[in-house]
Amino acid sequence: MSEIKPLDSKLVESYIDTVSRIAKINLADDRQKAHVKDAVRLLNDANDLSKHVSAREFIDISPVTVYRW
Amino acid sequence: MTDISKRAAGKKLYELTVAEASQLIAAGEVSPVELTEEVLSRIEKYGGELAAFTSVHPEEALDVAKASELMLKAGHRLGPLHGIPIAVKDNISVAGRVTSGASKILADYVPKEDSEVIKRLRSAGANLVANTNMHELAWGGTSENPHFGSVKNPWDLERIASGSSGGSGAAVAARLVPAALGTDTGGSVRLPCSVNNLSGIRPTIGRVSTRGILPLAWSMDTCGPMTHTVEDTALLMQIMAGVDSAGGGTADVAVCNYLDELNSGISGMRIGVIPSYFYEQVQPDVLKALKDSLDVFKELGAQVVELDIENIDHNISALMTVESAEPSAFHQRWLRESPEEYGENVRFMFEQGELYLATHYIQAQRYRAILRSQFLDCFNSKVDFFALPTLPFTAPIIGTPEVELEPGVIRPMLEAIMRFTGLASVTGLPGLNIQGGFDRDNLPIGIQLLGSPFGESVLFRAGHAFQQVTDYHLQAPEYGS
Repeated sequence: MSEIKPLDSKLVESYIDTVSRIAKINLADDRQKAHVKDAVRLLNDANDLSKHVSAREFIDISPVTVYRW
Repeated sequence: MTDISKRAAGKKLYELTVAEASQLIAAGEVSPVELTEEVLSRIEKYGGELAAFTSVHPEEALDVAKASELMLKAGHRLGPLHGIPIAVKDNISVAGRVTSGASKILADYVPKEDSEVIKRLRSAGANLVANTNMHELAWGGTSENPHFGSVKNPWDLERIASGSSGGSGAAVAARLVPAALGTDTGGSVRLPCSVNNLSGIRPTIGRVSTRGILPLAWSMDTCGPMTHTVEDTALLMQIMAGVDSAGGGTADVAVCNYLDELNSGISGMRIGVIPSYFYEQVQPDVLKALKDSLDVFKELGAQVVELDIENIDHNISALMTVESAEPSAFHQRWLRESPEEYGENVRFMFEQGELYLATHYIQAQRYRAILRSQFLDCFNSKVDFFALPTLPFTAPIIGTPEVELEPGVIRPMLEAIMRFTGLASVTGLPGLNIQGGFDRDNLPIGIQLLGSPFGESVLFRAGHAFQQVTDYHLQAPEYGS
């Protein structure tokens, strides 16, 4: 499997702009910029987590939405 | 004279625990009216400076207290909370009372019906004197609120009361009320209990109804009591726990008699620790308190078992993903139509939650299933409960944006503060905070006991046993004394 490169701030900046427009949040430029630093870290963390739950041993694992014991 | 009467002898009214006040009221030795007047007087004197409340209801409280007294005189006691003043976090619906989540956007929201937990407290005789301040709409860990002020920690007014149930934590710690309700999604009962030197529990998901509570993240929201002793936490949980046939996400699992089992001790129990996670990125005084607590448990007859859980550190990412995405869905329309109604902090968080992909959210939820199953494996054969810090540090100064968890490891406050509370939130397991000591600046340190599904009783036994041989829970801040 090829190594997934971490997201960088330039890419995340343009991603935030796209989400803002498509999801109709319409964030002003300064608000978009304020999100970049945290979003880079959080999205990289989320991508990293995703790798760990996609292995063959987790083939039967479905998402938790409401716990049923 | 009963044990509790002996214990309460010489205490001022405001120093009584719920169990003590309950027994003294039942015996006619304390008047519900006197107790309520004392509580209201202290709320008036200290509540404003602490920014602990969003609303106080003195007339209603006195009317309820007078009615409680008349009922007692007529030989009728509603239950163990008869005449006990209790404060309620501002996101828990109380019929006819503004329940805004300490926000502007819901400033005129007045529920017509009590939430299920409030119904249960009222049925047991509680007097709901005030609503407590909180991190706006419960999405945050510091209770710095732009509309009602930053809640201050009675142990040091410059420091956070943590959150999001910070007002409940500060109010109980300063002994303005003997107990309060909080809600806990990522740690919001346990965090303020930890930094304010209180006992309190995040119950198992499904143990306490969330019907009538403003949602933060549906799949992780819980409601729990915040008190001075584990005995009081158990007493309140006895009333709050159980099936809600009208909804609220409860499970049809029998509720133990927590109080009957409270004194059963922990001899022979196995306590799990995960050194690679519990002992890392934690400030030295907190780590020492954890290790000292483990020694106390060993002296009480338990043994400590060291374990490892693969990929446990990803719990924070899973927590952040779920706790971000779900509230952003709930607030989606308001965020677009009137974003200026939100304080800057939660507005930022709601915007941030929109940036996750659907697959991120689903993978985070799958991770939760995996992590839960790893913990269940441990409970099945290796341990009875886990012990870990509640926070990696003691209360920071209000306004601190980042924390250095160990040399060179600097994390944003929210992620740092939930490093250890995230485990119970992500797995749905119960987490009890007990008072575990003080740091070099005399700030409280909380220890968290993490239990098996619906294993609250084991946690109460352990916490109560701990409090029988330690006195941390008896220490009060100078403020309000």
